Amino acid sequence: MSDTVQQFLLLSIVGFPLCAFALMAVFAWQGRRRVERAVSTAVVLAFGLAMASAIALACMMLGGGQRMVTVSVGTWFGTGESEFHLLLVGDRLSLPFAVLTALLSGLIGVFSQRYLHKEPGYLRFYMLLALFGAGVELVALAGALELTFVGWELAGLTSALLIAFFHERRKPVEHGLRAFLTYRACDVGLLAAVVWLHHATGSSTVTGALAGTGVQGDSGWAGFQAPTSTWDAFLIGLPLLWASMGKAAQVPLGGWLPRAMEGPTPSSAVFYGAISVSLGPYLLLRTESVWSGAPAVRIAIVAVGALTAVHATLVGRAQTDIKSTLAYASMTQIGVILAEVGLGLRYLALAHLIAHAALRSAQILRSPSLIHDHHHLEQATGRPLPPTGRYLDRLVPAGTQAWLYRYALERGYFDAWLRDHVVGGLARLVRRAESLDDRWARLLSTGWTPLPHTGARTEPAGLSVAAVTAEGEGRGETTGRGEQES
Amino acid sequence: MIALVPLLVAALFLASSAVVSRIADPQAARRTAVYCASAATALSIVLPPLNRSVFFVTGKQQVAGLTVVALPEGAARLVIVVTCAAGLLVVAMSPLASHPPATMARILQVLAVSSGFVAVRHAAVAVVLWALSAWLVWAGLRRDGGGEGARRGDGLDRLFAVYHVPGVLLFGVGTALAGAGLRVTGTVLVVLAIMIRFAVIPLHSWYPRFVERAPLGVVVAFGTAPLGVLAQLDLSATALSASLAHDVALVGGLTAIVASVFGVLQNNARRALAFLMMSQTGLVACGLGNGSQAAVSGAVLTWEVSALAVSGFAMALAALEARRGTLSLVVPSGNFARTPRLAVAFLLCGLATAGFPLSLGFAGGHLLIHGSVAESPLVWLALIGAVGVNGMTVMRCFFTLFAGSRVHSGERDLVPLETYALTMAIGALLLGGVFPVVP
Repeated sequence: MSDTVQQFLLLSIVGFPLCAFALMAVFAWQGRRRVERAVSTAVVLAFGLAMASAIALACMMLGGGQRMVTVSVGTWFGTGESEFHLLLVGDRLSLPFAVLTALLSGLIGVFSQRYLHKEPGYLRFYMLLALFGAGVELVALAGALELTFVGWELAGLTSALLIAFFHERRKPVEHGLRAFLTYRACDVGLLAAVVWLHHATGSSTVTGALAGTGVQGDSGWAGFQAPTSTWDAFLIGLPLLWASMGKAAQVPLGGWLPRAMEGPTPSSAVFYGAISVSLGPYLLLRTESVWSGAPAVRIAIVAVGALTAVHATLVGRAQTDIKSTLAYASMTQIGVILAEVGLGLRYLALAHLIAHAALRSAQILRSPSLIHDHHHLEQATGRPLPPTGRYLDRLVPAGTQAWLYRYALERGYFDAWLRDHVVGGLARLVRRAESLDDRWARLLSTGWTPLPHTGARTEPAGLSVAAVTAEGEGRGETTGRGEQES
Repeated sequence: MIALVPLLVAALFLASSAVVSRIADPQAARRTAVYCASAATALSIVLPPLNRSVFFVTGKQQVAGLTVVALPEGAARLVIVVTCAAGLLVVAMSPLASHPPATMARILQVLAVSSGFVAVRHAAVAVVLWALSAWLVWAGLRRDGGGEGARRGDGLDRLFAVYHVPGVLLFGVGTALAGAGLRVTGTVLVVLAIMIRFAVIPLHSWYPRFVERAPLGVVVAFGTAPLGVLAQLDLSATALSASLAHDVALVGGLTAIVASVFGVLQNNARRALAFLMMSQTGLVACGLGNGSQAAVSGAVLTWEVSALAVSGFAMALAALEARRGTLSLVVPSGNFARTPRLAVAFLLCGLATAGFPLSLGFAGGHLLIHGSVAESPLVWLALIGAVGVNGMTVMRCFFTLFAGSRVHSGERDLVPLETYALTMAIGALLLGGVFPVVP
């Protein structure tokens, strides 16, 4: 009986938000009129029930001294060689994260009832929030890495669509696209890791507590079967790190994060301040058993995290608007968390992750009114508020300060590098190849008779939107309530 | 072997083509075509279970020396249903301006040929049907000068012929040689023919121009015809040697990744669609060339998804083009507040194409990639890359075509006929994603 209840609770954590989304999607497709309150109540209720389920399950496990609960819903599809298992796991890692996700998503649902009142995209926002919540819960509770990928993709898609929430303006749309492209480029890493893990170990489902799978110490949460060879661990760990870097906005791929603040403030709070960026470190925590056998991966994780932390803290200091500053502050902390994960401080990383998510989410929600408060405070005191962080001026030499300032203004030159050398180089190569192909097709079509160009490529070629749109938008693109401004 | 259900469907398509070609009013012609395609889809879905309960054809029966079945067995079991559903999408969503009754009739003929290919599985008949489908499209291009976007004398028909005449000849000669005992040579020629049909790199140059200029209904009907898939399935089952199969998988994987990269960098929506379709056919060719059961199942699923989702994606593009004019991907310039259903349908079909979770495409992509691991690291990495980049292409198209502008040209959302067809297709893709039937 108790097992059945536990399994139901575990399933319902994902099930409630997913059902809320499906219900709203059907109504939306039918084009029925929706009452705002009904929409938001359905989503808030779904997250409330999901949170209650997660808390109840955690209490039952604590009471019963259990460390892990798994639910296998069976095999989704597959042939003899490759099967997709629907396996969920509740343990010390997944349940706190699941509670946090449901709590923050529910609170954002409540907050947005007024914030987005009479907004034309009200239903769209709540649908995407529900789908995002379901996706993240799936990532948190997945007991099979394939299932993690499903949630991972859902979270990425909803995130991009919410950045482009104010779809009548070009910048949010471009930024949403940029975020999606970064996600997708990095998701390839997760897919590669899933496939190679399955190939190397014969399984991509959790096998038991980490202590039993070769990781030093007793972490107390479920882990995947570790590959026997260091080389396999390296080949799986590196793509996992790559996948994490995209979601967690790590250097050099983090340029999308400050731009993502173009979305509605509530979604920025829950996605980029709290949960979405936390998925990267979470993935590495969950898969630690897989990559911990490869010291090179551990070093790479620490290096990426540390580099991001230093970069983001420098760049964040040169930002002129609150949401961009908070975005870089998020990047800094996630970088530090990544370094903690790489150093094996897994409980510290988990605590840091949860604390950071809660705090940053509150800060971003507070950011629109912060500007008003700042002005009121200045009016009350009759003079500008004293600047903070001056001690750094004394620590850093003047020449270096100028260099660092340029570095910060240009956001570490990463965007320019990606635009000119990575995407731009590829685009130029493709353009040349396509030009040759087009000439060949024209020759076959009309012999030697010259024809006007087919319009295969007008200008500008390449990913005009997608390609890293660093120019112009870099400086001060968001304000306290940037999404409301044209 | 003769399969009765596909034969019935082919006859229905052929009869309705004759009726449609005689109707002068484009709207009435389209309505008639939709009724016919709906009936064909319903027949293809209902008849097999009905047959099992009524037993009008049980198992394989011999009639006048021919094997007669209700439906082909194995991986080809669902091909006729998918062909009919894709046909329904095509006829329901073909814009009236670019698809007059004559073009609509031609589309129905191409669908009849596709059904005929499933109905009669015989080498000689396959050659005839292969040639017939290419001739139908070529004749349409020659008569219409390549559709509404093309200029007369731009040689699209000639380009099509330059590739497809050798393709048909290679298929015919290859089949004849294989039948005469020269199996290796025959198989190589047939594989080359399939590669032309699939627009596999480097035999692809006809395809981007074809998609860019021909009426999209014709493009989709021709592209979803299961001729290449079934021919390659037959080859895989019988004649394809391991080394040749490996080469086919490699070329398919290469096509998938290269076409996907070309697709994401396009500034013209139709050309982006062309490369997306090429990438999908590359995935299918790669999976079918692969030895493992999972990869073959994944390839067939991917073909089914391509037939439904890419058709939906392409026809949504055609519908938007009919409302707005030539579609550019240079800057975001759409407004989906005016066309929410069209935008959602476009996105969902696109995401299913790119193997997004909770759609049938995910199951296909998953099996395809997992099944290809044993083949070679190059192949499965190419497949993963292609799936990832195709997703980027879809989202880029969605954002640039349906968002980014306050102004709109007053375009209307889906009409009931379009809603009906897209609801069917999307419902099938989503239901298939939750409860996938692995061939």
